[in-house]
Amino acid sequence: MEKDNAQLIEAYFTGTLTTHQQQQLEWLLQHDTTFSEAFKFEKEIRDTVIYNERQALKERFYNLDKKEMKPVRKQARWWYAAASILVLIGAAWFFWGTQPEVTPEKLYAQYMEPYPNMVTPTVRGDVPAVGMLSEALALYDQQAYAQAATRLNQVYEEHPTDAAAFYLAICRLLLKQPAETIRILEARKWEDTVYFSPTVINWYLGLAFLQQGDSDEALHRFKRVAGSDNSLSNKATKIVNALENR
Amino acid sequence: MNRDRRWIQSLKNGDNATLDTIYLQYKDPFLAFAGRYPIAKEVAMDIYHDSMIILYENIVRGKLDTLKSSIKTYLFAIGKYKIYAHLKSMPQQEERQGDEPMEEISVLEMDTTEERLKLLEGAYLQLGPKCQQVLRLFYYKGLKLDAIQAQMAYESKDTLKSHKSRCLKQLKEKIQANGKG
Repeated sequence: MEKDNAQLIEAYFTGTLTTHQQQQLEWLLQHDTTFSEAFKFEKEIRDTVIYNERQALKERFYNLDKKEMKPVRKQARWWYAAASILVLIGAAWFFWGTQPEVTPEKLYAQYMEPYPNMVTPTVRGDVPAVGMLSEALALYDQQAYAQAATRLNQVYEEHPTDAAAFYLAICRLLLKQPAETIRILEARKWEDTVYFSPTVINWYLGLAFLQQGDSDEALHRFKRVAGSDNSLSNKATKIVNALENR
Repeated sequence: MNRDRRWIQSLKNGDNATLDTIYLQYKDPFLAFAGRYPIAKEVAMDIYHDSMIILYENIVRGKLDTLKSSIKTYLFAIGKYKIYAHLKSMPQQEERQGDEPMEEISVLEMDTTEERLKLLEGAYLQLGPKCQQVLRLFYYKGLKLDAIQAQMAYESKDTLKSHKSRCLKQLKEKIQANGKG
């Protein structure tokens, strides 16, 4: 019996329990206190080993991050400084002589990316999407924005949710209809502020104004994003700097 | 894909320098990918660390021996799963209609509280290196006793079983001695 119990525990921890063994295990856990305590102890030990290994991995990654940011040796700094100054002088000469003008349209092209499908993400091997919104967003994932916009419009008319409105606005922007995008994003009172936060709304409004060529309105929107604690703030700061230094 | 297979085999063989290579190779692209979601930069970095850990554990436990996609695709799928889990745990998040299940990712879940784990870890680290290795191969890498016997050159499976049993007994004693049992 002891041998059978040991085999059960081994099968459990190596992930090879058969259905029959699973049933045996559950019965023993309910009816055999000694077995149950021994099993519970081994589970705690398993968690301890996993915890220890993960702490070691985290420390390894932390050290890799630190190494990437390590400053250069003092000896070499002199040369790096001199080389940097020469490169800067050369770059400045090149920049002022040859830099093409930054335009709102160019900034749009540089920074525009469709917002990820947060509602019904399509992953290889998933079950077929169901529901009108799912079908529309499946088209969105496939970058069929014209068809997605048609479907999303139908969804929005029947169920005017934040998700339908937002992704319809993005589709309109990708179809070069920024006026429609601005109308949708500005008209709505957004309730789902996790996925469609004011920062994200302002980001895409900024992009829509860039596509229209309206730098002033775009700047106003991107300054709000730049001042946020969002991962878009760095990009927004770059756009603000580019627009202010034109 | 050949490079990915080499990496998987290296990691299974215990070459953790390969882990460093993978980590540095995909760090910037992952953070750029995570930057598209409404999460802070520090959170994105934590999620990258967690995703790399899950990737590593699935490799060493043999779950990716028949991986059809690339390591990068799998790593990013883990990241997406972790990002969504993080967003769902944020306040004011209502139940979303029509949520589809994600691609299945195998994750070693822990039931023990962190406070208890820190205490137990102290006792575990007092064990000898051979005991720690047996327990690591069994509980972390999920190897069967036959495989551990071969890898650690035990005379027989029974010898290994006895040693594992003594290691657990020692651990229990140390936990009780430290007043944590």
